[in-house]
Order: sequence, then structure tokens, then C-alpha cells
Amino acid sequence: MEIDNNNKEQFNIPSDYFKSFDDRLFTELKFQKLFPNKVDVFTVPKNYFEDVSLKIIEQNKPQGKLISYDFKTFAKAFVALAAVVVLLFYVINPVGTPEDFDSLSVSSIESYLIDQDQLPYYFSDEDLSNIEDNTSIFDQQLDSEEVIYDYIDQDIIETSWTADQ
Amino acid sequence: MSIKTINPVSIKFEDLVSEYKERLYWHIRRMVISHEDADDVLQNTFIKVFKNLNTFNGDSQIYTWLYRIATNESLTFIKKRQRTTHLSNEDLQDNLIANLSSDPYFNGDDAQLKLQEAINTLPAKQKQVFIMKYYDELQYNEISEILGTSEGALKANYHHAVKKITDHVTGN
Repeated sequence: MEIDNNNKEQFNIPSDYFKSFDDRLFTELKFQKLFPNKVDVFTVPKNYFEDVSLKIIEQNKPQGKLISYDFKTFAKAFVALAAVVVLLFYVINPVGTPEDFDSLSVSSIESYLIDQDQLPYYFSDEDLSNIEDNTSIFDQQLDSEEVIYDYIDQDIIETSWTADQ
Repeated sequence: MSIKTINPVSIKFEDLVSEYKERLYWHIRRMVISHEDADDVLQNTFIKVFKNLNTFNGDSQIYTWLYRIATNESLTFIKKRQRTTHLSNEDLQDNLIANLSSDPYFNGDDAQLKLQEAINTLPAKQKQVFIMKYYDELQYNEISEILGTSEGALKANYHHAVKKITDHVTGN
């Protein structure tokens, strides 16, 4: 838009403003003479706007989305879920750590063997004899009465107890 | 509270339909002429509005945004109609005006029929500007926002449209 800098007025105008003014004015006046009143020449069927409103809202109601299952995605989800279930199982019901053989107390091993009458199967007569010679229930390391009684056959205790009675 | 000032996030689609369906209908109708075509375009417009409502970020007035969609849908419809009928734009407009005189939803006299005939000879952009200024009574700054054209260009377009219509009606 060119500005007329020769204008002494405070405000500026486009350079050809007044040149085109007459043309614009008389064109508008001619048009107004032909069509003095703005007329709505178009009409609509009865109740159209009420009906179309309902139609538009019905057309654009959110529909249930059809979800397509991709097998790969489904498989991945299944594996992930299975992993979570397994993890949870171990967290809730942790499996005890296997004990080292060395952590088992000698008393536990001996108790088991004696209770199960397994000694003769694991030791020869010579070994059993050596065990008798080399072990003692009065061993200094054994300072608990409970440990002592673990060595003695329960039958022997009961027999002695009965005899004393 | 006017719907124009409502936060974009809280705009309800049903409220937009209720408030703007008539204004948009008449804007579309004057572009496409027949009621049946205007009905189709109006519904397409609101389908587009519904699908894109979440993208409206309030950077313009809501009715400006709606008008833009309605205008684009009208132009798309007109172009599609021209393609499917395999008629030139001129022949197509002639057919529309010829049908208008027997259209049950047109109640204008001969002068008004002549005016519609003249409007339909205008190029698409000029026709849009004329309808928005003369019939919809929008301000130039509003039309500028809708069409993305400068106000100066719009004023020139309107002036040329009025001149052509006057010349057509008077036989010049």
C-alpha cells in the first residue's frame, strides 16, 4: 500500500484512494438501486432445522471402536503377563535357598541316619567301630543336653526310664 | 456466557450445532443454491467439526473456524459437482439457475432470480466474498480471518463483484 507523503494531514491514505472512490461509490449506489432491500429468497422445508439438528448429533455419536487384534502384539502381551505372574509367584512364595551340605549340622545328619536306621547302610562295621571310638556324646563341643539326647536312641532312654521306675 | 468466549476445552459439540447450524446453513445454501445440496454440505461440515473439535485451540473465534470449514466444504462440493457432471462451470451454473425458477424452496421474483444468476457467474472467490459481505454481513476483518486474504484484497474483490453483478443485471 503506497502512502501519500505529500498529504499535510496527520493521517495517511492509499495513493489512489480518491481516484477509485467515485467508481466504488457509484457502483454501490447502482446496486442499491437495483436491489434496495435484501431479500431472503431461499426457504427450507418445515421443521428442517429441528430435524437436521437431531440427525447431525445422531450421526456423530461416539461409536464403539473396533479393535483389531494383532497376533504379535497379543503374543508379546501374553508373554509379558506370564513373566509378571511368575515373578510375583517367586516374590510371594520365595523358594528357600538350597542349603550347602556344609551348613547342615553334624547332629542333623546323625539324627537322620539313626532315625532311619540307615547307619549300617552307609558305614561298614569297621567304620562304625571307629565312629564309636572317636566320638563322644561328652565331646566338649557338645554343651547342650538336647544335643546329647540326639545321640541316644529314644528306645534306650525310655527303657532306662522305665527301669528306674 | 456466549459460546464465543468459552474455553475451547469445554466446547460441547451439541451446543455448536444448536447455535450455528442456521447461520452455517444459509452461508452454504447461497453458495450451492439447492436445499438438498446445502443439507449434504451442512452435515459434512459438522462431521468435520466433530472430528476436529479437539484440534481447535482457540487461536480464532469459534464461528470463524466454523465458517472456514463450511466455506471449504462448499467449495469442495462445487468442484466435485463440476467433475461428476462433466459440465463446464458456466453450463453448470446455467443449469442450477434454470432449475431455481421451479425450485419449491425458492420464492424470489424475476429480479431476484436475475440477481442469483449474476452471482453465479462470479469466480468462486469473488462469489464467496460477496455472499459473506452482502448476505452474511460479516466485517472485512472477519472475512479476512476466514479466507486468509488481506482486507484490501477483499474490498477490491467485493467492489469487482458488485460491478459485475450490476452490469449483468442491467445487460451492460
